[in-house]
Amino acid sequence: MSEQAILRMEGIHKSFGATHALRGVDLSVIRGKVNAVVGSNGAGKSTLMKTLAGIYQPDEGHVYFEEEDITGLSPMQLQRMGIQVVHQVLNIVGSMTVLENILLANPPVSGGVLRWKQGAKTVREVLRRIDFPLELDLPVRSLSVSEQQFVILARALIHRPRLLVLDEPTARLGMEETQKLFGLIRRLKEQGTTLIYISHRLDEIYAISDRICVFRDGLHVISRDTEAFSEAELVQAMLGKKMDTFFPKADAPVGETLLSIEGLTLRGRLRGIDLTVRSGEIVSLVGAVGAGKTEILDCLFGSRKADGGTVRLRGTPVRGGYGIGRAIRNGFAMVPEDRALQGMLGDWSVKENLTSVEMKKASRGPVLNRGVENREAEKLVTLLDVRPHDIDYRMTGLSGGNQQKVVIGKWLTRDYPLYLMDEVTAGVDIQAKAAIYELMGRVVKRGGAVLLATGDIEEALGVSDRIMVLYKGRIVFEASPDSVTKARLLGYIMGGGASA
Amino acid sequence: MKAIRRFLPTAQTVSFVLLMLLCLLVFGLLKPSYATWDNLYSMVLSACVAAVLAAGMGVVISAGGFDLCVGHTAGFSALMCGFFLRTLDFDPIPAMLLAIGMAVAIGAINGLLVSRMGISSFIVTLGMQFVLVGARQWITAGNSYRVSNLIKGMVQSAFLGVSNLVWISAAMLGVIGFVMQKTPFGRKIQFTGANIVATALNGTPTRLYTFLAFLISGAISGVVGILQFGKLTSATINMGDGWLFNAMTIAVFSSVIFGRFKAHGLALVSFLITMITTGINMQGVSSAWTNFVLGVILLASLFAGKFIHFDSFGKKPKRSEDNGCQATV
Repeated sequence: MSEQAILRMEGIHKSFGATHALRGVDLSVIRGKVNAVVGSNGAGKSTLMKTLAGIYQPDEGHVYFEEEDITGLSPMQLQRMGIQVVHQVLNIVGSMTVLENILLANPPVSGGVLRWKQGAKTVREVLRRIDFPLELDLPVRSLSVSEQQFVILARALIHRPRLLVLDEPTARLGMEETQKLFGLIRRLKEQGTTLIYISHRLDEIYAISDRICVFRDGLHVISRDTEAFSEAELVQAMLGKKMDTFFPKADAPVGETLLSIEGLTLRGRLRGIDLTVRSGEIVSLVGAVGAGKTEILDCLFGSRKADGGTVRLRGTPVRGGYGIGRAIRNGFAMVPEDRALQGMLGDWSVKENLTSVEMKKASRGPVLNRGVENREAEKLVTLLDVRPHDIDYRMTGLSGGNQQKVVIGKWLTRDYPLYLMDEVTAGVDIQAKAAIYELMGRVVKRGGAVLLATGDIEEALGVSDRIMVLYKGRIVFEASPDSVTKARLLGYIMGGGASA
Repeated sequence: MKAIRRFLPTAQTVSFVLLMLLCLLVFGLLKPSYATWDNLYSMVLSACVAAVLAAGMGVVISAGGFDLCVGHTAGFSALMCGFFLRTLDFDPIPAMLLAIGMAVAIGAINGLLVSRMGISSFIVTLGMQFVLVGARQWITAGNSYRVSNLIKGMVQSAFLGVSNLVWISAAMLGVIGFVMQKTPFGRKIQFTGANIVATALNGTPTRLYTFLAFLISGAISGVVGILQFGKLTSATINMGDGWLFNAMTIAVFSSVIFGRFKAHGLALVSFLITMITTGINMQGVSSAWTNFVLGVILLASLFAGKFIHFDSFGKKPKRSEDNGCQATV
């Protein structure tokens, strides 16, 4: 075993105050393989990776790299040994150029002088290797998020690491870029690099990993070769219990047309979108990053002004660019893509977030009333099963999945006919995912509808009644999930069209 | 038990009262005239105006901005009132209303520049401060103005043995605290400051709320100017210089210790700071000492705010922990 293992962790313990994040982790990372690390939020993955990167020091236990004890080394020392960790957070300086960002940690100094030309040569070579050409002189700020992700990858690869840790690397990538990343991972593996791949997306894990290590409650519970690990077994290992229906598909009668869009255009983004949504339906919008999913939702919600087209809600036209307040009064609810930035008030409590859209529900007459607010919040927290069950908890203290439940919950103070949801389960653990699907089911059962933008094909196939594929601002394909395969959808998403 | 606890003084209040007693003891021993009823009463009068100005500043801070011209707007309002009274021979009431109206207009201009043009409130209000310093020189040509008897009477006459100044200030503090804490309007202003994008997506017209925060701050400054005019009985060209720093210290200190918009917090902090500065002044030392101490208090409360904030991460929020200042200061 030890010859196979490039990295071994033995009995790692780590606590933060009363929270015992790692409770004696033993883990072997196999040389030359893609080792996937999975687990629900709070299972200890991030803490473990930060320990590996030298950001945290373990309270107990040892880490061995190539049989050498590396416990307690600094991040710089670990990087010099060939361990590179690409964190989930984008560590970039927006105002600096691509070149400067890639060379941020190790500027090309010789003789006390910065040699940018020399550096540029190395960087160009790395970018060619990862097959992602970028203008080196552009400020990183002007790049798309997925391009920024590759800038960070390039920064890690410039050191030719022997062990590369990728933490949710596809969270910001579209499907095309994800495929590109997978290609890169396979090439790195051929060159003998060992990888640790952390992800929430099971389909990706099955697509790319050789071995799956499951974490639960601060412990490494099981590792097995990917081929020998069925999805049902994997989910069971992650949850510690059996879960029968992963996608609890709601059975709701489909009724009248709620929303109809004709010829919706947005310069450079949307090129004539026609779409109808009926009550009782969950309609998915899938597509690569930049295909126009978010833009459709933005135009409907009034946070972006469309250049043309008509939107009808229950047959009555609503004018384009009508403002968010009007959209909400018309019956649109929006769960935006970026939870922390667009969805929640981090420093405020759960109850204040839950009543932040409709403060009427927290007031008696024109005055906010603690009793009324507590009752309303209590009701929602019970419905949403927010953990911990505490309406006074600060939002930033909750896990991602529970935060997302609250962000959805603020739109449940009243029955909105149409819910616009943008990547609503991104970065959310399995249990919270199931809870969110259940909430969507509730919406359609009482005659509402959900328009769901998602990058997760499995999710689209699992929960929706109809799937619309967007490609470069146009709907190129429409199907019901029963009559289409994943491969076919993927073909359309990548722009392959009917040939796929 | 919980219901009873709500009416008991909090640990913060108790410790503040103890600090005040300590001040009284120390400065009173150094200078016996400090610990007299007359002196205490005059400190109360100074403190309550400062607290109201700080409350106005607090409204803007909680909306995610900064208003660096509260002091100068107040001073300008007093000067303009005097100018209308003495140079243009207006009646006191119209002169007063017009002066407050000008302060509201100043707030409105600040608000428009920040909310519509998206310019940093720091820059806008700093610029406005210079505009006011220039304008007051130009309009008044360096003259000082005596207050009218009506305004002086309005501010200085007593009700139940306590000056109207105290009643008016207490009422204003109470109303501002109530609106900011207990109404959807006030909460939306605070949400705007906490996360402007998320709040806009909740359907709140955030530009309007930003604008209104500056408008309210302008209006409060205007009223404070008139109160000061009545209290000091004359308006001089340098009126309002130095008020900003006092107001800022009180606003930040109070929100760190007591939480946002606690009227009693603003009053207590304001009184404590007045006690300290008056105490130092009465020793006959250089005024540099007062500034030094104020600066130290401001920095210390900011430090405390960071510390408390950091410590509370992931735990239940207590009202005293989430103050709007950390993000913006």
